[in-house]
Amino acid sequence: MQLITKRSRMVQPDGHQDALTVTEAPANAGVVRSVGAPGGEPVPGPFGGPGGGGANKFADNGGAVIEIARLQLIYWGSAWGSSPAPSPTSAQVTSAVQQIFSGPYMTGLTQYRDIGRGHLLGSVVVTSSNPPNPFTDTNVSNFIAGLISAGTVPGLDAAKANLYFVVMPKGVNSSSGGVIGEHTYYTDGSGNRIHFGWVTNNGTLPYVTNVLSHELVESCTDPEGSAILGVAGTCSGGGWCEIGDVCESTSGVVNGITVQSYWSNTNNKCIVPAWPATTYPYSGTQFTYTIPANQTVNFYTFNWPEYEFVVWEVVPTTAGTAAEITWNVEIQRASGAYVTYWISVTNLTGAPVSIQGRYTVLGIA
Amino acid sequence: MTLGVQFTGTLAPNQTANYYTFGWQSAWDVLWQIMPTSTGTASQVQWTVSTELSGTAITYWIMIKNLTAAAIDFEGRYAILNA
Repeated sequence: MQLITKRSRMVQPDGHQDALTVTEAPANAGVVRSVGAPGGEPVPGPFGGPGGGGANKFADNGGAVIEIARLQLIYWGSAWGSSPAPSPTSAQVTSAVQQIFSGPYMTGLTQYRDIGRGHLLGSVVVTSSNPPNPFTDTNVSNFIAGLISAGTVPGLDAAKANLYFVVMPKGVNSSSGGVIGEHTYYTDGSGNRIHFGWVTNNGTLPYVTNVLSHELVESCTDPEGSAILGVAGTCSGGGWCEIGDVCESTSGVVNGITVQSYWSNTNNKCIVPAWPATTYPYSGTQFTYTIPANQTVNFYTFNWPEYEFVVWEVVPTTAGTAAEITWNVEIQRASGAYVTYWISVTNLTGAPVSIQGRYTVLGIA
Repeated sequence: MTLGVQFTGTLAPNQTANYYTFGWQSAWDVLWQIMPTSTGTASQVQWTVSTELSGTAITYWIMIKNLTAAAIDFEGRYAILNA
């Protein structure tokens, strides 16, 4: 196991670190949905920090990102099982993280290589050992490796999108003075890079979720210090200069949970995204076409935000005397942020049938 | 309208699996959508929904097919149209 030496860290605020194709169909049957229309893109919420000016603060250096994070929470230490229960409890932190994932917090990451919302893979409380106080990154990575090896937490899946976050008990601190959260990676015996982070705890839920959210968005945009990084002069501290590092002084609330803002090149300021100001449900016609007699035509339409629940209906606009059309829908997660719908339409009749492909966006799931 | 995620899962390459979820009010109109949480380069999942009246509640049986040669993760999302 190899632990890299550079990493991103969150410090105390007073610290010093830092279509148109149609398969098997004529080209004019294409289907396009533009990004953001008509549903619109997530918009920054009311918690933005002071904006800057000029060129982008952050650039894509082409390294690995995590498009759809699978977060495994690990609560380390006997204090998590104490009676009376600690504040916050592990259950409260886990519930808060679920709220972060289900809300719009991560939707602003779309601008960074179409990263989307993550989801909670699981949570585990380990009371059989205690973290050293102070602890090091190596203490944490060894701990995680042991849990993976023992099957206590899942290992990597095919997507290799796992992210392991260790939440410390109150009062347990890093050996790096002033550092309250960090993310980095180690390389396991199979050569896989295991992305992980740790979060300290001052005994309040907002503190934990603020630090955790910072490490979460940075882990997704720059898990290995080679992807979305600040341009020269963006950060003054050491370690990887990432989108949370320049926004540590501003936070917001998503689904009732405190989160830290992060830098948006698009908005040129620190943001905590909100859902688009869209009235759901809304409907429309996405495509029209004439299906030849007894034929099946496959359509696809792309760039639909993953968080929207969209249903499809195909109706004939040519009158018939019996059932004319059937269709089925398949889904592709084209990126972390966007979905492509594949709609196969079959003409059941011996004559051409004109159709409309209609959508209804029910809301946000 | 109420929307949410009812279940998550993983399908092996080309696997078809049946899921069921029970205790849904029979008066509700519920739609289901299977959303991959692994990215892919083409169509990844299709699904069919069957219903069962179990006592006074509805059980939804959802058959999900992985159309790809790679394992995929997914969310089972629901929309209750009238609640």
